[in-house]
Amino acid sequence: MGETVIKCDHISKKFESLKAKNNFIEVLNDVSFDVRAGEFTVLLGPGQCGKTTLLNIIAGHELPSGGRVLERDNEIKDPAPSRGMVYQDIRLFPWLTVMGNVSYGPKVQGIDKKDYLPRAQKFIDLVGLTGFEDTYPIKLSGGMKQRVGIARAYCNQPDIILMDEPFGALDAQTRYMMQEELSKIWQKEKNTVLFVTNNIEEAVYLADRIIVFSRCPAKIKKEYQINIPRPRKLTSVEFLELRKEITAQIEDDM
Amino acid sequence: MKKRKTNIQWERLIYGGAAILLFLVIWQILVKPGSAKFATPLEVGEFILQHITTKVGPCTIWGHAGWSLSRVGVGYILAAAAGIVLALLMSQSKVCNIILHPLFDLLRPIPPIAWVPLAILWFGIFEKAKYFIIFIGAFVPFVMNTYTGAVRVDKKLIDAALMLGTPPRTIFFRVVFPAIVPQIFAGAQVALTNAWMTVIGAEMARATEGVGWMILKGMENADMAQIVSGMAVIGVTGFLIAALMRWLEKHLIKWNVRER
Repeated sequence: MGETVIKCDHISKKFESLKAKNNFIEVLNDVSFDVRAGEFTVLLGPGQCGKTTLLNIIAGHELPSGGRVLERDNEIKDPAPSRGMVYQDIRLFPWLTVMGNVSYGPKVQGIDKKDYLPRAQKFIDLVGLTGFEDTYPIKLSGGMKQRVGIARAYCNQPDIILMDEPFGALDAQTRYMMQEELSKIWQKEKNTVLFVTNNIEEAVYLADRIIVFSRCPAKIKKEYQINIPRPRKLTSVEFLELRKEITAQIEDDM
Repeated sequence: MKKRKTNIQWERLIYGGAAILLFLVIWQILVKPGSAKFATPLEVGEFILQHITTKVGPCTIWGHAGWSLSRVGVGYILAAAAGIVLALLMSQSKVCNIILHPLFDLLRPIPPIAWVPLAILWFGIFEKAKYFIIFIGAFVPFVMNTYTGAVRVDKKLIDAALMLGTPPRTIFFRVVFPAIVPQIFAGAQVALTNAWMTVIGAEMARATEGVGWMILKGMENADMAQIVSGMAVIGVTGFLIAALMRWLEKHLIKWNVRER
């Protein structure tokens, strides 16, 4: 596999909370793992187990209470365009059109239009929004908005894309469709993705590697390398077997 | 969908128009023509029609409305500039907020009309005093709305902008300002209505022309038609101003059409 892009080194995170016993609540406990270039890594764990916090720390939105995160040997302290993110709550800029949102990153960094406009168009086409370039987010459905969110992250050409339960707020049918499309885009672009979810099926469908987390405070329980060839079928024997095994692993924790 | 919307618009127009007509008819029936305490709609209509071409005092009805509107225009634009700048300063700089916010909160409850005596002492009885009073009336909603919008800008949008590589010093122009344009517009609507109400008060206090003057002069002459005509001009003009602002908002801020 490729070289290490992100290295999490004994990360822990505590929040102050008056409700908790010692006035703080621990959400991450000594978490260490690497994300390797070109790999689709999925962090899988129950809801509220600190996965989102971990992703926010890697993005640079939050700082860890202990340990450090390195991006190619540089410690992460602030958000940077080398680490793109797709949020569960999408966070498009409502005053910009689809094209405006997708091309926002390169534009604010002062990159030449000739350089980024064709690329923005390419990703708008790739997520299936051709013809919606001049539409404002308010006119788009949830699924379409998240397609813009994905295109926006890709268009900025980051070193790694962090995806925080990007399909968590979508209905089941749209979710299946989006998983399939994301898998296609990833096979085409072969970029590094770190994807957070609490959905086992989604994890097995998308991942090269699954890292299973325990309940709060989150610790790494187990890692799976997924070698099922793509495109994967949700009903194939090997898919179902793996799904069963991981489900058992997680139920064990309950 | 589209067709249904047009239908609703027609419905509004027809029922709204019918209600106004009914109101005028009842008013006409209830008020005795030539009354010393009120005027009938027909008398008002006649007065207005007559004075579209002939003068009431120094100028025609158009002239009076024009005077009042031009005063509103000057005071309003000054208030918009000063109000938005002050609100942005208070929202972006903690020091400015600590110093200016209590001061603003203290002056805010004083109605614009209460400033009339001071305005006349400071600026004389002519135009400047009226600009000042209108300025006060429009300034408060501009500050309030812009400030509330600016402090409520979603921190998550700012995070997303930083993630995409926005240089931190440009966050204000890239995210904060565009995000609060709708709130500034909401403030601008309230401010314009306020300014229009304030100018009438200012003119009734001291003026030689304008719609407020028309009403006051009508009272001095016991001319009921002139008083009620002045009120009608205020109502219709205020209505048109509000409609214009709504139209502007709809066409300028396409990305955030507020449902009505």
